[in-house]
Amino acid sequence: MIKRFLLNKKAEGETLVDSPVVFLVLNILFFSILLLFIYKQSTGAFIYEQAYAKQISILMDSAKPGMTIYVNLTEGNEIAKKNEWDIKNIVTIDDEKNKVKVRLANRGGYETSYFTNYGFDPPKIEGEYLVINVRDKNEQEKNRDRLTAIVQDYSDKKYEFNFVSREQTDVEKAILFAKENNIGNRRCSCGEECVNYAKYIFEASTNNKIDDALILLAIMIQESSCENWKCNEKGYCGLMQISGKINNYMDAKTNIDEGAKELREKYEIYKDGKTFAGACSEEYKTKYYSGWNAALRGYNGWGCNPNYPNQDFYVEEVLFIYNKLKESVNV
Amino acid sequence: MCNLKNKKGVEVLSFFWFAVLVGVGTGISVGVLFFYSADVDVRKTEANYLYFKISDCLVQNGLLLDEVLDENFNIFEKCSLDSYTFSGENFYFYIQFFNEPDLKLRNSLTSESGKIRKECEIVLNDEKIEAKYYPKCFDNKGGKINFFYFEKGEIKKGYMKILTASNNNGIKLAMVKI
Repeated sequence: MIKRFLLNKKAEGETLVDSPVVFLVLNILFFSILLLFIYKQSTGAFIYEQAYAKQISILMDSAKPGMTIYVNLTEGNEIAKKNEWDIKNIVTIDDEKNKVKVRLANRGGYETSYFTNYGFDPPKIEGEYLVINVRDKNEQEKNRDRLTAIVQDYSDKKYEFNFVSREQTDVEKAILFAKENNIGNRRCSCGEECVNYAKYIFEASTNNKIDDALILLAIMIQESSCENWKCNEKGYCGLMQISGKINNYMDAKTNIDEGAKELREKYEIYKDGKTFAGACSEEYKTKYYSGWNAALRGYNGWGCNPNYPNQDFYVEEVLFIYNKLKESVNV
Repeated sequence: MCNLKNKKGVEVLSFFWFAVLVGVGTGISVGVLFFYSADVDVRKTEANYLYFKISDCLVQNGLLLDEVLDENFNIFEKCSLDSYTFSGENFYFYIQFFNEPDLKLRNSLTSESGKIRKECEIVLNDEKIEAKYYPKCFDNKGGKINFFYFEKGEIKKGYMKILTASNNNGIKLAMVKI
């Protein structure tokens, strides 16, 4: 057939492929198809799906708790966009079956296993990078048990804020107690600044009409363990984990002041009570907070952070710390 | 063979020449197809990681963990290994503990698949064997890891040998639209 086509005479003495132009076109066409095929193969989803899956599983196997894994997904993102596939769904981790799945399109994909038993938070996309936090499953279970005990303790004793007027020395005494002793699994790492922090807390609570200065100290221990350099993934920073929008969040006085202001604002908004409908756990979705408990809930937020579901217990944890501090000053 | 010539009789394109082009193109295409559809093989790396994860976990600062030689020792829990994954044939380990100086086998720990161990013995005994479906195995060239351990108030010396393997090939997921 091809032979007949090539030999098909256009005119006497000439064939269809007789001219150099036709010859050239044929060759260009041929090599274009060839190059297109090679390009399609080398940028195809399957290659990247497999490569990413194995790269991620290897990184997970070599990781340790507390680490964060970053994987550059630039190529994968582009392929997923071409395939109209949501980049958030590119990588999924099945923590139960120890499998990593990578999909760059709405069909197919690649799955591989990993052998480590550490826990992995659901992958997040930050720009071109996939981010996976590694945690210790056993540690998380222990933490969960500890929190359950705190919540049980809270339910049994019906802790409430028992506000008293504090002296600055009470706050100093409490912060030094928290520096020397673990409260739950936290401690106040205030170093040489303990007395200064106590002063700032006392002033901020007076200025913002916080009924008991120890509540601010309890929040500070819960939020940052009194480490002023800490920032979380959402950009909340410093002792009271204040939004990083303020310029000098690392300045202890400013940070404590801002925290106190925010707590007071939340108190004004929520003091009449609100149900924690946005909680992660079903049991907390019907929980009702009012007064300063609601202010604390508002300080931490009324929603669910799937990466930190234990934040459901935030109010109880702060109350637990508050009560320990109160015991330490015997007032 | 039919040659295509122009008016002057100079050969422009012959059927033979075109067939050669098609042949070369097909060859390149098949080569590319094979190249890019080949599996990314990281099994050797996985076996290495597993080896060092186990050795780092069991021996710390030259001392064998106290509970390792107990009958009820759970290596999966202690070394953060997923027992479910090791119940299949993707990953495998075999650890032997020896006393010194009598070199007696004191204890051994293994995951379930005995089949992989046999295959590893074959592969490790003859490096020339390249069986595609056999696991990739690692024993650090038969090397041993020395340690001290406490027993009945005495410090004793011993060593362990570890064999790890991976046959974790991964799977393509079905081309079903989600």
